[in-house]
Amino acid sequence: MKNIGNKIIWALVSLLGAFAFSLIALQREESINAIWFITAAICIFTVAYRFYSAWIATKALVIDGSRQTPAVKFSNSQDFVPTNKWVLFGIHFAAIAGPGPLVGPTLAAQFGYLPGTIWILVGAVVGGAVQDMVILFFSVRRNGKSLGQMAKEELGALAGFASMIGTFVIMIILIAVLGLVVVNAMKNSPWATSTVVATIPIAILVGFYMRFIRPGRVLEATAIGVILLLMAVYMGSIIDNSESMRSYFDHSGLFLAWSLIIYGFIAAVLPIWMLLAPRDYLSTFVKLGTIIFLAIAIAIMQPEIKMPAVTQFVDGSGPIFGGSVFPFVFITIACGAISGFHALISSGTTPKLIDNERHIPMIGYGGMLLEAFVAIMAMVAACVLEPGIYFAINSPVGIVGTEANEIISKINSWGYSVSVEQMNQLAEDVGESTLFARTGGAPSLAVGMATIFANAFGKHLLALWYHFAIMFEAVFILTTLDSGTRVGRFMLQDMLGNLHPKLGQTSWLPSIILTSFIVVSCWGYFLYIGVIDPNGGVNILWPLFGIANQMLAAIALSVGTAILIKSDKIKFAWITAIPLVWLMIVTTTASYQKIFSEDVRIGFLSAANSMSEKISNGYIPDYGIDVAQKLIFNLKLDAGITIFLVIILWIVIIDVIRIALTTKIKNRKRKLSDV
Amino acid sequence: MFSLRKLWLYIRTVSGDNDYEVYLENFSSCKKHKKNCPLSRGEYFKSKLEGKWNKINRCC
Repeated sequence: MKNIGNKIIWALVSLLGAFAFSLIALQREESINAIWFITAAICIFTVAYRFYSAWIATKALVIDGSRQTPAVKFSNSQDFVPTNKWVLFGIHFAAIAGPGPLVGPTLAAQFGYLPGTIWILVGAVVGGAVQDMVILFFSVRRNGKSLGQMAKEELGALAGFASMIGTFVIMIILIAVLGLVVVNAMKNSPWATSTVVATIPIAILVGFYMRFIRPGRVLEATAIGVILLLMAVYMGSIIDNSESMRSYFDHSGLFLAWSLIIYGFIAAVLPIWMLLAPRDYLSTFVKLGTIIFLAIAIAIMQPEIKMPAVTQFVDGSGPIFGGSVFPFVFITIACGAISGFHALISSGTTPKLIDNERHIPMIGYGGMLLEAFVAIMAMVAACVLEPGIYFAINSPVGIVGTEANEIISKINSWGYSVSVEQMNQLAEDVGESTLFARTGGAPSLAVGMATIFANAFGKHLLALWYHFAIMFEAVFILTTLDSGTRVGRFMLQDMLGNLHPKLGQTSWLPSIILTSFIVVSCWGYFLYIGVIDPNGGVNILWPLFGIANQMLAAIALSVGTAILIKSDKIKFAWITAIPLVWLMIVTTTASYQKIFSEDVRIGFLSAANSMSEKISNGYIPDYGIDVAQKLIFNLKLDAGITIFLVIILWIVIIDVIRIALTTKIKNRKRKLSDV
Repeated sequence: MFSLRKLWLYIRTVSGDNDYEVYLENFSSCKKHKKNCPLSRGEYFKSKLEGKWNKINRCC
């Protein structure tokens, strides 16, 4: 009886999911309610988890609950600690879910809600969650080896090297683009800037509390910190209203970028307990709290989606970033659908904490599905805005101009109604002087979230909600920046250790300073260029980050495919090979277009050429030539990086093909000898 | 069944709030360490943090 009841329930969940999905996909005439996005995601994800992940676990991977995991085998109460599965789920989710799934969908909303939503739902189920789970499983079976080590052993030395370099490049580009998102949210906004600045002393205070006053009392300290953060958001409004105080926090993008670069260096050199660890505690709690709050607010308010299903920008003329819906929606939304970065966590900390192999589907597959759910909510938050407002906030000055009237008439010409008064009113409501040209996704997401929160929990609080959302994003972007710089430093120290053993010592101060300086300079350069670029920088940096991240995912899936083939499971190799082939097509097409497209908004080289022509024809005023020359250099550099990433990708793919062929030949020989 | 006490224990464990208690328990049950003294709460916390952040621990 119970069995039949179960079947009926799963059939109903599947039907509801299919219904919600078809509603999202087919609704054109009337606007659609956001609740259907949430319903579709929950139903599709639970069905996929219950059936697909269970099938992979039992049939393809053959998970064995009686087999000792590395955590049990090497239990040392340091790295290897058998951990309760719910606890580990929390730790793993906190590690994989950063700002990426919030920013990507917000940017991809320029194509309309449909392309991004389909990619998140399908990509996570078939690609991202499979990658995370398979890599976690293989790492557990290999005593917690890292992706780099597995790539080296299973695919060859070149692939191992490729994954290491790929990781470093991703880290640099990721930090730069996230830094740019924060800078765009803070520029000329005393309220946002003062709140974000206040998070630094608050984190240090929490750090001292946890280290000296009440050592290790994480929850107490975090509670104090969260209260202080909320007070800082409120204090921001007082600073914003005071003429004398606001001038201290009213800065241009360039000033903020330099401040962030200097901050990044200091943060990377300071001891972990002082700034990085306490801020991470704060950001994790604020993040989880906000996500839960957002889900509740969407459920209460059930907002209508205002964005059309598909906009005219699918043709590649989008204002936020150039490029057509294929391949760029799949590049723009990496985290949230499939993110190669996750493979580093799935083969890093998590496999050393797994108590039983049977927990792998929940932690690997389930963790990623929860992140995809966050991405869906970010998509909803962007799409509940009037499209006119969404584009007015996100379009860079290089596309729409600087004057309010100019911007509005441009956006109206695309067919999206919005007025200067409307934008001024909105800016006033959220306590900002202007919301124009805040490219990067954080402010539009904050406006979207603030609208949802304010409608559900009180309208007069719109400005507070907005700055809370900005603070929330800034806090964990800064955590990613701190920890990313530090990891980049360790990787560099590891490499430099081959040149001189002293440089490889992670605690030797001159080495710390030197390597931190190199890492910060690398991302600082891209951040600086992003800020001086009138097209907003996001147009260049986000696709570059997406390509790098998808390339790392392709390496991870290649490792998975190679191991499946080698262990005589070639008939199951499609579970990783299908997403691999898809990423190969997407990444290669996107890279080709980014390098060679003749559209100056897409192709790096044609943009560089067009700018050189403008200089030689005298179209660029003398004061702009310096910036233009820097941009030309940067465009060529970006083209070089993209070529480099594609070459790495293809080296790895050729390795997989080679392994598939040699295994096939071996098997044939074996069969012949059997006869 | 659901209980607030369990939820509280869960939050403490996920956040690492009760790590030190777990460490002391393991320490006293493990015979290897009998001759040594356990770390103080502060020292333990510091070494734990350093172990946590010397690798990729946060993602995009």
